[in-house]
Amino acid sequence: MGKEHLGELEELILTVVGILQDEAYGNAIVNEIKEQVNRNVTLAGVHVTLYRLEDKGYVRSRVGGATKLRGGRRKRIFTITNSGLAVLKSMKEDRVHLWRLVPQLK
Amino acid sequence: MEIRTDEENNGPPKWAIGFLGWFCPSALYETIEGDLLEQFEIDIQTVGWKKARNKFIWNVIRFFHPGIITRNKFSIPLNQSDMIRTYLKTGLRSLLKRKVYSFINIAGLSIGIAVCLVIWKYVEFESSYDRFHTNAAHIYRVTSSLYTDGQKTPYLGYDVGPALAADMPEIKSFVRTHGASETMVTHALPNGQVTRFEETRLLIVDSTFLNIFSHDVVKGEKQNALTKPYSIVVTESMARKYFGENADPIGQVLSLKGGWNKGDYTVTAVIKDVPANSTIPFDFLLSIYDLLHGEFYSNRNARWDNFFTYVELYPPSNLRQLEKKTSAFIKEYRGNDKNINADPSLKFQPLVDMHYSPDLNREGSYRTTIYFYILISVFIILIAWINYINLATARATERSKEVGIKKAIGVSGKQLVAQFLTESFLVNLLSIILALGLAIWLLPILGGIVQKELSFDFRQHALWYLMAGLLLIGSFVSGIYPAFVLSSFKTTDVVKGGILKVRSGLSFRKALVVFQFTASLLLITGTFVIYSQIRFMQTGEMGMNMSHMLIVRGPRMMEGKDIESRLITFKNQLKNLSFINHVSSSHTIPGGSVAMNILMRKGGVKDSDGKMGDATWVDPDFVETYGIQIISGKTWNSSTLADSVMRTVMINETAVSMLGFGTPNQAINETIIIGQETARIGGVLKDFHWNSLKEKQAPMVFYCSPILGRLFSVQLNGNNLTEDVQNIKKQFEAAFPGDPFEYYFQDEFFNRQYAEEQQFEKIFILFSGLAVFIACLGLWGLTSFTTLQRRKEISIRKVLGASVTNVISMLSWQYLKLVLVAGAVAFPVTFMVAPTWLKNFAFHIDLSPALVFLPFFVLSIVAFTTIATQVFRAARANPVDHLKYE
Repeated sequence: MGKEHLGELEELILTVVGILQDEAYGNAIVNEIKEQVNRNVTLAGVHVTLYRLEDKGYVRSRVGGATKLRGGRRKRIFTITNSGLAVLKSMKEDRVHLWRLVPQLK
Repeated sequence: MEIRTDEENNGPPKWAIGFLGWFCPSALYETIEGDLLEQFEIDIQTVGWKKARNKFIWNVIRFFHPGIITRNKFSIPLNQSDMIRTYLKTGLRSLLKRKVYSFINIAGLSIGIAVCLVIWKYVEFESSYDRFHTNAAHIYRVTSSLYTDGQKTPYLGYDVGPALAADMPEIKSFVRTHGASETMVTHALPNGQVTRFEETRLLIVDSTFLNIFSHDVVKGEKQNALTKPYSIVVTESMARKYFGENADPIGQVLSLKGGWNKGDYTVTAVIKDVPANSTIPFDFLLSIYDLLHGEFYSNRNARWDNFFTYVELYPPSNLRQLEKKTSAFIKEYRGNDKNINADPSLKFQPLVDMHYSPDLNREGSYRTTIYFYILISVFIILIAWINYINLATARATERSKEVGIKKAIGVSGKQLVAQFLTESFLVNLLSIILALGLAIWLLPILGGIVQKELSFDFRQHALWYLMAGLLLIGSFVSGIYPAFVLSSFKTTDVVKGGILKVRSGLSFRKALVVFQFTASLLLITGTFVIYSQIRFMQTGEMGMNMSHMLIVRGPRMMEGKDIESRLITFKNQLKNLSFINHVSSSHTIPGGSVAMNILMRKGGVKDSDGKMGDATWVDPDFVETYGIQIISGKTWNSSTLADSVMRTVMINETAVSMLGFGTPNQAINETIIIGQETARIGGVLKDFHWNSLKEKQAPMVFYCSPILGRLFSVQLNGNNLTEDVQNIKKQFEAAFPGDPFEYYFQDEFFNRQYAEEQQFEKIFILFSGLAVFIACLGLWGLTSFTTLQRRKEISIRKVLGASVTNVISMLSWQYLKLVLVAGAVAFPVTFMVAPTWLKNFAFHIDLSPALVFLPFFVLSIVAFTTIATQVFRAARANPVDHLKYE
């Protein structure tokens, strides 16, 4: 099987899941992306992407404790898996490798 | 404290949450709802309740996404490709196994889809008129209803456009156009060679024409193409016709002869040919300067109301306000004109609507025709879908074992539904591929009927959307009901054996067949009604005689002093020919336009009581040639013709009654005022149909002149047409050397007015034929299936003593019953719809019982013939063959 590829949004969200650790659920991810890279993503978009990442085995999910804020509904917390970390790493390395090949202007 | 309702307090709309709950898999539901609620509460704080609510709804809708909806099991890869492959395989097998049914379904569906595609293309073409102009949305044609008779007209005087543009700040620019009459166009090459053609599509326009309308200039200059006097703009094909393939037309000279626009014109620009979907077709554009400074138009007192005026408005203009302002505008300019009504106004007709009613009459009828076509295509596709539904459910018992066994080994209901939907998808997919080929073949046929060049443009996205839509909707509509029926069988019932009863399915199927019959019956009835109306119009009493009437076009070169005597000589020579009964010359002929549409009134009556009527010029023999009956008075003689004080005219009955002359006898020798001229009434003609039977009778006035050079009506008595025409041609060429001899037959010319109706008729015949064919295919399939299922029952009946006739009538009756019900449904619809179409005709047939029952009998016979072979075979079969099998 060939190398797995991640879409741009998938990579972004996977990285954010890595950043947020135990607090990685839908709204938190939307907010984090807004804060860190000033980009508006929809809640639905984040969910769909997370489920796709889960199917590919890059994240795992569990249902976490309820808070009062959300009308008592529980959160689905996502955590990055080892293969998720590995794919992020390899993508980063690929990019750095390519970037080095670009003639740099000084 | 402000009291808020419960819903406001609790925030998000309940229906949105309900919707989420409906489509969202339960495993995901809680956490997604939680995320949404959290977001909602944050939103309330930041953007307020109202916006938060909207955002919530929007967010819910965003979750309506295949990635969510289809995710029925968490954490398990959703790979259905194996299942889909199985569905395709079993679907294909079942198609191949039951070839006849597959053929019926695919044939019906592909015809249905092809008809949809073809009609869509036609409707799309019809509604694309004039939209190619970049500013189409802001261009309007100015129309008026100024006169006391309230008639609307698109024609305006040449002075209206400039005055309007000066007074109304909303108007960005205006353009006047005037169609030139037939003109001889000549181009002389330096080497003395001459290219000469007669042209009819010349348009005299303001210099703004090319700025308002979007016509690409290929050569020459766009801005000033029409500002200078004697400038002419030609289309590419005209440039080729006159100047050849490679020559540069700019600066060349074209000489024009005839009409108001004689002279030598210099070509200033070449533009692309006008697209077929333009309401303003032309080959040449002439600068209007020459017309307005010519002899006719320099007379300020003459009112020439024969310009179309188009305006381009600044984008956000309030049309209604603008139209209101025009009332004062007209009062200011024309206030002293007594013919103007109390509340005169100009209207602005959108350019894109012009196509539907070029002359402002019969506004709705064109659109109605198009709606009828859409309705036909909907009927046909529904009939085809119903075929699928009926055959698939009729087959249900045959497939019950398959379903039962699948269920027993653990196939879920949903999977069965998916399997049967895949089958209907396959059938629809095959059909749509065939349909495309069929449509490509059918489109030129339709194009031939409607006289338009139609072809599919596969780069057009809408075409692909339509096909995808038909495929998906078709698969769903035709597949979903059979899928549920088939997958609903209980394993135990099936495995136990015995006959499965699908009672509710049977009555539903019957309802669908009734619908098919009703739609077919309506289409057949439509065909009958249209056919009868056209026949009525073409064979009805016209009040005149048009048969054996040959129309000879007068000479084009009407110059020289002796032209009148030459015309008279020609006419007398024709009269002397043995095969000619009568000859008459006139300015116009029945079925064509009249010389003028003008306000007329009885002498001594107020201006405002006048009526618009038609007036034309004929020679003294006209009435006799056309066999028009004179009710009172007499036709012209040499003394009335010579009267230099007052002209003598003849009028028709309608003029007598509408203008208030009393009886035809009282009208004789009364004065009638036509426009500004007073004339004496010499005779009254019985009403005859100058125009088609679509038009009401209008008051008509006939002026007389000893000879008119435009058209000769020649009444032949012989049957040797070709020879007679040759003889007349000889006379013509001797009398007018160098002039082309042109002729046509009066009745053909007259009936050309019904071209639109004849198109409608042909389309109706074509498509109702197809509809009935598809319905019969389905019926045939259904009978063959049900008789097959009932063969044991039939055999037992026969053993117990039923005769062949008994069985035939029993089997036929169950379908003919449905035809009867369809008749009962279709009759009231016919009585509601047919009169609204017939209302478009001033003279029309009434719905007779025969007109309604005949289609019903036709359908009954067609239906019976369809089922006959099956029923006979079933009834005559030897009972032993079917009973011994067990």
